[in-house]
Amino acid sequence: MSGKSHFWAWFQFITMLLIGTVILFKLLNFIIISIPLILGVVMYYSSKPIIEFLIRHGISRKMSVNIVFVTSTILSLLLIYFIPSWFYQEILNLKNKAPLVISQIQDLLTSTENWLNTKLPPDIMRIDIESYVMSLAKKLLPLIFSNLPGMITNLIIIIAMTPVFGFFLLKDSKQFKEFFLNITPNRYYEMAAVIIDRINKQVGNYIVGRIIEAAAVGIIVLLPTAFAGVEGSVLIAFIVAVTNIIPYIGPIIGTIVGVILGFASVTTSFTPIWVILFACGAAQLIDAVILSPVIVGKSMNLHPLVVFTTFIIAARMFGILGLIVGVPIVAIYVITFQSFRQALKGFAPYEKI
Amino acid sequence: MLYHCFYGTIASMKWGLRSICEKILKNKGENKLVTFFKDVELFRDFTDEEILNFIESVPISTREYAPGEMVFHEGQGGVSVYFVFEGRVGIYKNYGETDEITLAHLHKGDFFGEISFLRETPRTATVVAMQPTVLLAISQRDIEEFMNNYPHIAYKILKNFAIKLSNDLEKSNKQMENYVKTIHSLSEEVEILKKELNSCKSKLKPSNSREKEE
Repeated sequence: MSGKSHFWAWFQFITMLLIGTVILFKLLNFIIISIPLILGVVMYYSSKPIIEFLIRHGISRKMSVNIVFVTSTILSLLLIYFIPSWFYQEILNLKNKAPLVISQIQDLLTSTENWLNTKLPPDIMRIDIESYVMSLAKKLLPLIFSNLPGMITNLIIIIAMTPVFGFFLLKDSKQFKEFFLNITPNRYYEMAAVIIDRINKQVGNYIVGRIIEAAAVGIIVLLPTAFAGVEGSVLIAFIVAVTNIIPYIGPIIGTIVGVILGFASVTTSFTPIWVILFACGAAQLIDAVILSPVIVGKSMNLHPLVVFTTFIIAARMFGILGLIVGVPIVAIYVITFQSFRQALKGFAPYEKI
Repeated sequence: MLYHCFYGTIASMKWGLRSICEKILKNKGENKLVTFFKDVELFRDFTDEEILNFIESVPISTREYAPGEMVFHEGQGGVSVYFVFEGRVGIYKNYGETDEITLAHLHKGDFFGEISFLRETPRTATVVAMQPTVLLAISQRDIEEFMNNYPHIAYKILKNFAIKLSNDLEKSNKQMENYVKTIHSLSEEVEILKKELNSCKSKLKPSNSREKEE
């Protein structure tokens, strides 16, 4: 392609991306729609291998999609039946144990503070971590408990909507692709087909890789904590697995939340805390050495500066949701750019004739 | 209230009728495609069910070309396979240049683009629509995905690709044979002409020497 044609291709591509970004930003503000949609996309890519497996075993495509939909709906119904009560019980349990947890954390903070103050020269301002953390906890805890019914309602809607979004994406993915290709001008058709295929493949691999990675991390954390009898080990493993999606700071957040929840099990000794720390450390080690390079691959690694900038912007705009989906979305944008650039390289001039 | 009920009933009836019509049209479109693909060389020995399976699983882009419009050109990237649904296309080497060669003209039911599809190399020729043409384009990855999901059909597709390539090869061989025959007859003619020339030269030589003596 000549320089002028390159410029137009890039111009159209960036315009389309910008329109997509605006729609995405608008959608992300409606959590009730955006989370099921994101989870629906995740469901689409993660259930694709299952559908392919069923097709290879003689079941028609329509039937395979229906099987996946019915299974995911039953799972959702089970989750809706069990999760809110379980979640509510866990939170209530935590609320009942809150004074104990708070006193445990308070003791730990006081001892840390005293230790730090003895190490610091006398003329330096005294550190008062305890009062700071306590004031923050006093502000946050009532907020969490007052929003609990709303959170559970949202959770039920999200769990119920996800299979619906996933089903339509699975059922009509062919029509979506045909639509995009049919609206592409003839001269860009070949390029568009290559780009869509490449993006589809890479994004699919990335999402499936991340899911497997998160599940593996969750299991690695669950096994020792459950074996050691840590209370709420499933919740801790789930939180560590979900936060693991966030690069760099995700594992730290997961470990901190896990340790705070672990204080509920602390009675006389700090063994549960050590077990959680060990489990999270081991999970991170195995993830960094084995899982990440093998499953996700290195091609998707973003520069730390890009990651942190994304954190700041996404967290400021969309809160916790932004923190979780921000980096994967940026990674998908990077894949899209790379695919477009590579595809553009393979296309020779069209204008010479 | 009554008005709303009436309006709701009419709207739902309209929606129902529209969805039924859409379904009929879709089935009609699919039937049309089944009939078309049955006559395509790539789907030789396919049952109706297998063709329907293919149509339902693989995204097919319908592309319309004006006369003279280029589908793709030599050296361009791209791995889609095209089926001529309506109209006619021409395949050229060195299109638009002085040494342009017309390789073939393809009609309804023919397909092209299989070389880049199989070898993942740039296009080896330029394809131009010769009249208002409708092509059905399918990308390589979708066909590969379909072949992965249906290995027994994949065998047929690959076999038909091989048959198409061997037919092309046979055609090329025949062309080559003709070229070789032409070259042989031309070289024989050249030999005869050479001999004639030599005899003429030998006849000319004595007369020249006599002229010199005189």
